[in-house]
Amino acid sequence: MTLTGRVAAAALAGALAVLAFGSVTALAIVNGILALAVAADLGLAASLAGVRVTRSGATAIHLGEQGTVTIAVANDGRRRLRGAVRDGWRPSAGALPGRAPVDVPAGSRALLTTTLTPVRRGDVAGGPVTVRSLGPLGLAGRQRSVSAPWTVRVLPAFPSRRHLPARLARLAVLDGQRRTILRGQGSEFDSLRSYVLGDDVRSIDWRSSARRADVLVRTWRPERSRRIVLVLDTGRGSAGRVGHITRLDAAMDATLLLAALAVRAGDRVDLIAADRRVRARVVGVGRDTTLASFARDLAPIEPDLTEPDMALLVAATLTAASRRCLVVLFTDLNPAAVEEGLLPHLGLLTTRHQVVLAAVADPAVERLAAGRDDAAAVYHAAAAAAAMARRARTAELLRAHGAQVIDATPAGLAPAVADAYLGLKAAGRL
Amino acid sequence: MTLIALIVLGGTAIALLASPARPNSYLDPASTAPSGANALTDLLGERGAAVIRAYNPADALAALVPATAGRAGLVVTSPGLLTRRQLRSLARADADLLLVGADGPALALLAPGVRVARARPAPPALARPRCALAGARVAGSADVGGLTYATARPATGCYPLGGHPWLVRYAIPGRAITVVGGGGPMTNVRLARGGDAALALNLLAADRRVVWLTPEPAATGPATAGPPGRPALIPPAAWLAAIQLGIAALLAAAWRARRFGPLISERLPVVVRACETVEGHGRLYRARRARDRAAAALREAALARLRPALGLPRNAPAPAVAGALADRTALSRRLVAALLCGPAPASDTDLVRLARNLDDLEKGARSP
Repeated sequence: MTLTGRVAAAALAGALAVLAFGSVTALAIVNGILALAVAADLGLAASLAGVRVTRSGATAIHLGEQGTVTIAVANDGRRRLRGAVRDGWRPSAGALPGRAPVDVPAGSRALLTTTLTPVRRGDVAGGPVTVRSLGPLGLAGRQRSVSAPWTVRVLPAFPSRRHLPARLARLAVLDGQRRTILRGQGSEFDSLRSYVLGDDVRSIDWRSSARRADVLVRTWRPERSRRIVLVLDTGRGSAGRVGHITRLDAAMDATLLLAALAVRAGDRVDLIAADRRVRARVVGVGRDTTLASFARDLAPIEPDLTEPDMALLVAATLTAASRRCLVVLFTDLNPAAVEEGLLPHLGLLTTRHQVVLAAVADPAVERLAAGRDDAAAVYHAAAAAAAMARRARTAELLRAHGAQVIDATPAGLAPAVADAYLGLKAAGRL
Repeated sequence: MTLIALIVLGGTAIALLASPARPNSYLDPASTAPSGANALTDLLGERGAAVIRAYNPADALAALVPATAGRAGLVVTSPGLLTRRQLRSLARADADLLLVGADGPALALLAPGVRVARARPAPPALARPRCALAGARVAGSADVGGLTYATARPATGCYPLGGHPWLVRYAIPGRAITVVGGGGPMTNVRLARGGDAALALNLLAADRRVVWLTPEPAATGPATAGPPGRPALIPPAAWLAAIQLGIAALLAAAWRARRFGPLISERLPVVVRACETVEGHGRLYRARRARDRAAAALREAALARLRPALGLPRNAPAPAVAGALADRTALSRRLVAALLCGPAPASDTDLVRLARNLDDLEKGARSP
């Protein structure tokens, strides 16, 4: 049972009547009428036993974007359902409007659309839908919560998407559109074409020219169908908040940009996310679905507050990467964690694969390092400088072990990793 | 809006309900306020008189009726608050009468023949009795003030103020009627001054039983009789309306209290700012005054940036960097060496200065 503001307003108006008549009888009559009206309204309100609620609509929304989920309220009862419906979602789903009035004739159904603007990544399960059925006077009614299962997966934000066109343009320079006739390491034979003035005479294919009575040159293009394994460390290092996102979020952003780029370049991309256990493993999916599966499988992963098991990470990577490939490892440059966790196992990777290690630097530390206002700021600056020096030493150590190290701010990580990939591709080191 | 209206109405009702029980404390024998008469009635009690408090004429008359041994006296402190009907009923009482500040109908009905001499009340003053009344002469000068009276009948007039007596006493068979122009000498605050206490006690000395009537202001005007008890300040309709308002408030509470569906919870992630360890490290430096370590860190950072700018190898020692820098800029070798590899700063101010000088040095190295 539920009462509305009208009952309170009616009782308030009744106070005037009581004041005017000034008798106990008037008091009893006013409240008697009120009680009767409430009872009648309760009795005449549509029964909620025959109300069915179902949800439909978006199943995946990118973080920072909007999606809509529609709830259908079907009234199988005999009376007209008047009242309101509340679509329950957890607060971070950003559901608007949370509630709406409904008027459903018997045997009919009403559709209500809720716009979700999630503020957190992961699976969002829809909460119960609460239906309130009011009587004809709108004084009182019944209320019931119905479960209408629906889950929306909030995919990782992909803000570095804006860097994609520029990188694709650079890829095009490397790739087919401007076919190079220069042969080098990491390029493969593409086709033969007629000699034009300016071509390097050394690239003339004499054998074919003899056959065709024309001077033909060989063209070369960057190698294709290379394999890339993206490895995300989801351990405690990835939980650190840099700006308003975590290191893991920044790594996911870079992962998505690199995957989008590599798929367009004709390479195959695999993904492994692990801390003490493998959290996500996307290996051997088709090029068309790579990006979508990455986003879908990365969405529910939250950082784990334990020290990651680097042996497991490396083993999982080696299992996924049978032949030589590019391994991009997203981890943190925490000196102690790297020296004790990663370094003993890094050799296994660097001997067989090209390894790029990408770490998210904290812009707040750089801001601290520039502080010169007072003694406190300078002490902080000293601590920040020391931390940056330790980080640089760790990066040096990793480079000495044969890995390429990228240490960039959250906004700069994705383009830096993409550029490193393009650089390796141009140099034919994949 | 409705809620606010309910709250305002409810608050008004509560304020009405909580109003003080005794609206008239002037010369109230129960009141210890400056204008009360608690001290005087206590004194009367010590002298053996029984003081009966009454707050309406009916109670006062009822207290007078059992005429036991000795004379009874009736004190009416604010006769102006009584209705004509109440005054007439009091006039029939068989007791000595002491009227305080009586005027108008009260004077006409309770002390016929006495009238107010001047409309303007006289200001309080210490006056001598100047009359033959034994009680007043014994008491001496008293703190009088208020109304003054004139009378046509044979009476004793004492404490003249501006030619007219403040106190008038005359006798009718079996009773003495006394009219005083104000209650000044009887109040708690004045009782101890001059002959006030003596005068007040003497005026009532003859009576073994004193009924002290402190009328309360009637809310509904002199026409309505009101309930037999105290006159009602709040009409019954208002009480009923207040009950109805309470019901409305309860209904509003029930309306707002009902949740529209259950609360939906969610697990929130742990938020750890990545730079917290660095900040903690900085605070630790400061707390321990670790200027040597802080300076070393700042110098090392500056050196790390200067080496590539000067084209030196990564492991070039600090003095070598200082030398190269001094060659490039116009600064003296000693100054640059002091900055890059000098002793630790002696104070926090020196540390801040060192940090800023290192910044300037780097700028100078980049744009010589």
